[in-house]
Amino acid sequence: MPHYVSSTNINDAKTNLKAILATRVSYNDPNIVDALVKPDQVSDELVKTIKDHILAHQVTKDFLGAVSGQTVRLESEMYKPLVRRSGYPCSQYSRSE
Amino acid sequence: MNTITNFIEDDSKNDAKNDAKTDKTNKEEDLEKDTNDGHTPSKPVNDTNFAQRIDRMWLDVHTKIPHTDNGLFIPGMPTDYYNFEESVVVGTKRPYPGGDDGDSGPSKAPRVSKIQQSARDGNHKGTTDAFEKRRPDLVLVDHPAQDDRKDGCLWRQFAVLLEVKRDRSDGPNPSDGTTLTKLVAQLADMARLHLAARPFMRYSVHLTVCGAIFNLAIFDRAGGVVSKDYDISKDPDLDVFIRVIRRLGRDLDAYDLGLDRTVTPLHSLGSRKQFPEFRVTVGGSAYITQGLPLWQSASLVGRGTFVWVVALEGDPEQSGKDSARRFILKNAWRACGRLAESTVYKMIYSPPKEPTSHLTNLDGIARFVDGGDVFDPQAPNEVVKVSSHRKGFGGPINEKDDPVLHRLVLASRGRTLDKFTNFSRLMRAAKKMNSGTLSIFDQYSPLRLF
Repeated sequence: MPHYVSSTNINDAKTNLKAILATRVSYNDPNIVDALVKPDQVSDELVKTIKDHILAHQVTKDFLGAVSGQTVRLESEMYKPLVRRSGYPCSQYSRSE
Repeated sequence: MNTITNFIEDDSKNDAKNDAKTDKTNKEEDLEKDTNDGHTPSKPVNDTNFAQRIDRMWLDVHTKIPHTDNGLFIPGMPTDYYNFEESVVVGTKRPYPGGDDGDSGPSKAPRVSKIQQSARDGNHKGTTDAFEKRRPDLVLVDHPAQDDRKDGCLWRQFAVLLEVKRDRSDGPNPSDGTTLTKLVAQLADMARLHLAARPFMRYSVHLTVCGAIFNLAIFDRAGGVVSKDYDISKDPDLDVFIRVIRRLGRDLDAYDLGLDRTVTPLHSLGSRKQFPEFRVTVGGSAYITQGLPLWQSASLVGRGTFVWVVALEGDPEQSGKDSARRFILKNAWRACGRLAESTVYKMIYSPPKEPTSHLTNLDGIARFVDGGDVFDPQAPNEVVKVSSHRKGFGGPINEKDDPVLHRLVLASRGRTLDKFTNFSRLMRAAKKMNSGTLSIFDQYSPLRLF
């Protein structure tokens, strides 16, 4: 049982979200990725290694082609999910590769 | 590249074994290897600040309702997961907020659970259930290696949320540059839950992949910012995508991903079993949060209030005793044009200019200990505002509409109604509340209520 209750009204929250947010979002920002994530701090060598690894697999190349051509099927139409059945924490990438 | 794990797969036993092998020593070795592959992490590992420990993984959660901690109630999230999950068929995912009209969006298959359909048909007690069935497609979670992935994941473990759509036309940027798109409304809806479940966040980070277009977006107490479109089918933007995924998963710490830089988590942010405690400084004292927050706002735009029970760190009056004194901590974003709550308390407790007998009764008003606006550790002369983390991007924020982070500590701690054991005690509490209200109005309003 929750140890407290809330007076927040869900319908108010929905209204708040759709009405107030409409004027409070900046679109097509050209700088947020550079300012927030700083992608340039990843070395070119590492990017090349990862990209070579991705593009070395025909399945991945086909998938990128399908994405580009907007021919990716819905999950319900797929033979199997395009997600791997096992994984490792991000910290294990270097070792596993 | 970071790999993805699907919760519903059964072959995660081997993964769990791998997790068990991944102890702290291995993580440090990984970091050393990273430096050898030509890339240096942006920050060194800090053993005492869990916000700077980076141990994340991507999870596919689009068929699973993320949980909240037991006993934590956040409006918009289910509290009875077993009943909810029984009603959810695989793939059932509520695509957009407020979509009670049945519009599931252009690229999602029309996947509707029984309860959702019942709510739309008017045969259910309300639409709350439909509103509660929301979850991202993939998430980047803080994930200590010792936690078993089979336990599922919690909203507060999410570092980054990722939403996938099939068509690029479903992207977050509107064609006219101004109209709120359905995807942005959907992201904002999840962002408000994320900010409510993961304490002390300044903003929530989201990725979207729509066809070949990917975007980065953040949502904070003043609204949101969406990046320009990047096309991963084109070479320069694919590089950017790889770099972004790498940075989010391995390099950026919790502070970089939105955590308030003035607080220090004392436990792993990704721990499944331990709700993290936070060390929070107010004035010249440090306080440690105790357990779950007493209350948190579930709204996105606004004050984003959190209320905690906190213990004074190194309490001199309790030296040698078992427990420190407990206080109430209120953490909220105040509108910069309004009077700060700490200022109001100081006014109430300041001695009146013309002493009279009926102005001195402050019984029933919470006892103020300390508080004020929070100063930015990276710019000590500036208070923390929304504009503080939007430097270099986003549209200009109106000075009068730039929320300021505010904190106060109160010595008075109330109790919930269910803790009252008899009627007379409840009435005495009501009398105290009434006397406090009367005192405030006596002192600051020309109108006498009683």
